[in-house]
Amino acid sequence: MSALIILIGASLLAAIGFLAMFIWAVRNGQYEDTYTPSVRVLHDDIKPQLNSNLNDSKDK
Amino acid sequence: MPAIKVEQELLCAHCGEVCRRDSVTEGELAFCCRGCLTVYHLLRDNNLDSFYQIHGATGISLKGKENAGRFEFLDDESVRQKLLDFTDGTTSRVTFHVPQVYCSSCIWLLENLNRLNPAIIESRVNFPKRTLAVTFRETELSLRKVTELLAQLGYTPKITLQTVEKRSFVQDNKRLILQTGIAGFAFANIMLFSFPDYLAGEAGVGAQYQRYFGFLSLLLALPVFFYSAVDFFRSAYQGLRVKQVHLDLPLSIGILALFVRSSYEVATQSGTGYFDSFTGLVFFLLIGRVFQSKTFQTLSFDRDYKSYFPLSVTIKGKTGEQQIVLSKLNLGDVVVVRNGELIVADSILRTREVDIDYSFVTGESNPVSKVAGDTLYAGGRIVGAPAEMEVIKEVSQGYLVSLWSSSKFAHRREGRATRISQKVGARFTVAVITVSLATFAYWLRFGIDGAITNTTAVLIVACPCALALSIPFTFGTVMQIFGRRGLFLREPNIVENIAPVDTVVFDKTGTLTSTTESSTRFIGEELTKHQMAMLKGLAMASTHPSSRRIVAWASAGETIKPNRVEELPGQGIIGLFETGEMRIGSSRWAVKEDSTANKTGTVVVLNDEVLGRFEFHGGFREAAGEMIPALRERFDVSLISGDNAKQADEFAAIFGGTENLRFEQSPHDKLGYVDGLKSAGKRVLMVGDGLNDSGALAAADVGVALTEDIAAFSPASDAILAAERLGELPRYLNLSRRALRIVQVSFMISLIYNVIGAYFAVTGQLSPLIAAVLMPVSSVSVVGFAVMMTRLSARQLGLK
Repeated sequence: MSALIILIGASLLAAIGFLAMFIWAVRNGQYEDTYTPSVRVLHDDIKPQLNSNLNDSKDK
Repeated sequence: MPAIKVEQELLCAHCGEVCRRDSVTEGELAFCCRGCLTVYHLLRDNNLDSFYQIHGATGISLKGKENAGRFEFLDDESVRQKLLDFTDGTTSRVTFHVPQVYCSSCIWLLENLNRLNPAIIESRVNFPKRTLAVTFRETELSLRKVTELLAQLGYTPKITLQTVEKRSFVQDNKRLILQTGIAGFAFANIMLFSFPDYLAGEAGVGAQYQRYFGFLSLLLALPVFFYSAVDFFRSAYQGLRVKQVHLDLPLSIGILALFVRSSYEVATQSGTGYFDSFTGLVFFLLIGRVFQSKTFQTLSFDRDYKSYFPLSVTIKGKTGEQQIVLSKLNLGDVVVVRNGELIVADSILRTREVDIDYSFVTGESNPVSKVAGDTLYAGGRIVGAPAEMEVIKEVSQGYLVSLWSSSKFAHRREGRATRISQKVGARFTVAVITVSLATFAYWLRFGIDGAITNTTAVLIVACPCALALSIPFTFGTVMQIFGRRGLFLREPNIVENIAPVDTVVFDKTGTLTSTTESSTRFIGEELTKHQMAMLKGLAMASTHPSSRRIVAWASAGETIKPNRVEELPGQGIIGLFETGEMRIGSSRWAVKEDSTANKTGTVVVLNDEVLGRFEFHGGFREAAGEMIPALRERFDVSLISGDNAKQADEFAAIFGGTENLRFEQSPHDKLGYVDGLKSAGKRVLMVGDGLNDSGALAAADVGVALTEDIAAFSPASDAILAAERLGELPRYLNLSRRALRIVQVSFMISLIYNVIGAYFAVTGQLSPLIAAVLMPVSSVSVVGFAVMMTRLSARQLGLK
């Protein structure tokens, strides 16, 4: 039965690890702006171009 | 005859606006103005033209904003110190408020600032708050240069007196999230430890495990008691100090009883305690607060003059013009104010003649003409050529600022405690104390231990958790529904103030009338096609509000561009055509003989012959015509206007008589009128839009600021209403009324749970299991009822 005590202690430790991550995330400001990152991720593919041939890409 | 048709289809390659006169072309691309072309060059030369891939041409139009950036004052050391978030001498960080950010391409551009200038290390946008944090090497780039770069791109940061004086413009709710997270964590884990005990039945899980689980639960509950729940105790204590009992007091008593009793049981090994109920209770209560704290971050409800005044002004010194920080402005200084800039202090005009737009103060958009020697009040905007004026009053003592110094603004309606929570809280506390004393007295006959046990049990079940949750969830839901429909409340509790309203007071200009629906009337003989084309061409050459209205009035038909145009600020505009000279402007100036000189309005003169004159009226908002009669069925409705009574007849028809109409009211009269209604026992809702209403808005039980553009100016208020939603006001009032009733019913429901719990407690049968079941069931059912009923009511009222 003492195995149970060790297991519960271990699971609690794991949970405390997650709590620590949560506290870190909040302190790090990840809950301050929940919108902009969702836009930012869409822009990751758009690298500033090296050739400035805008005239071609703009003709629509 | 050189008739040029304006091309409608050509769109600016940078900002996407229709290119009109003055457009510039480069290659196959057209730009609406030089500013846009400059930004295009800037982006292309720095390989940032992927900007246009994101949303097509969506840059900020720079039309007519050439004067936007004058940032010499940022070199002032005291200003720099106050603006920077952080600096170590070489690397600095600054957070700007950039209201122009409105789409994803803006975010992309502003986050790639380092491409434009390598001295910028990183730039981050916070879209909901419309802020931009820039980290840059100050050894290579000054704060002023950073600001100028942004202004060049069209994202002129808003740096006002308030930005400097009050650093944090958005409240921080990190702490609340942490408190909730920790309580949730403890609640979930303690439940796991409690379950075996509940499920094991009579036999129990064995002493060894009970001790182990009890000890772990106590450990997990400690941070909940000392960190997560501490704000409830603080709020209850603060309430007591000002002799005010609200719901947080019985809540705190319940939380305290739960924690002390449970700790005692675990410590003496007489039981497992109620730690699952304790942490769950705190967790649910905090969720209520999180729900309630979801306000509209981009909107500011507490703006005073400081948010509108610039940080610096241009003064004319011995050595020519120079920029100084506003705080260093002295009496007698001569200030130079340019087109579109704000007059910051009451002054005497030195320039011969000038037009001033007081819409910021009065809501009335027609500019007022002033001549040299007139006193100009702070808050006006100069239209046209620059004006010089001598400061006669300090900034803090101007007419505009005096409105804010009024005692009405001293008391800000602060604090979380709603009236209903105070009323119920007080009765509840009395009831709880009575019942627990009775319980103690009864059980004392059987021994002191039993008496204490059962008395604490009463305190535990009496904790009004469900009661405390029904307010934030009901009002929070109403606030969300309003928010989707264009009415933004400062905080959910405003709903409680709206519900009992019985009197609605409207401002006229800008509230019931609107400049966008304004009517332009031409009095005179009918113009020939040719004259019309000339008139339109001439009016298009000017940015004066009256000219723009004339252009709108003459929108159809051809345009003839004048060969030469001269604009005389404050007087009018002269255009030379092949067929003669046309003047549009004030009659005093445009007409040579005195025959019609005393007529008001804007005259049109062709070769010294008066063709006629224009009269501009604020147009009546369409929605108002139906809404006000509907409101009158249930409310006292009145009108207070700063304007003269020339439209009185129109309003009398809608307001059902003239007894509720008041014209030519000064801002202080408006405040006095609202105060008078309140002392007569009325609950007043005031709808206004200008700074001249701000006194009345603050004095009313609920002040609603009406605005055409949510992001733009609005005076301090409890709520901001989008102008196009004005017609829905009666529905908003109805929903608030129903919401209050829903809260009352949920109170009844949760009281029933309390009575059931009290039965178990008083008879000495309250086990941790019963508490653990009763607590979440009551909370969840009350919250569910409140939210569902609110949504249902909204749907019935057509607000879904």
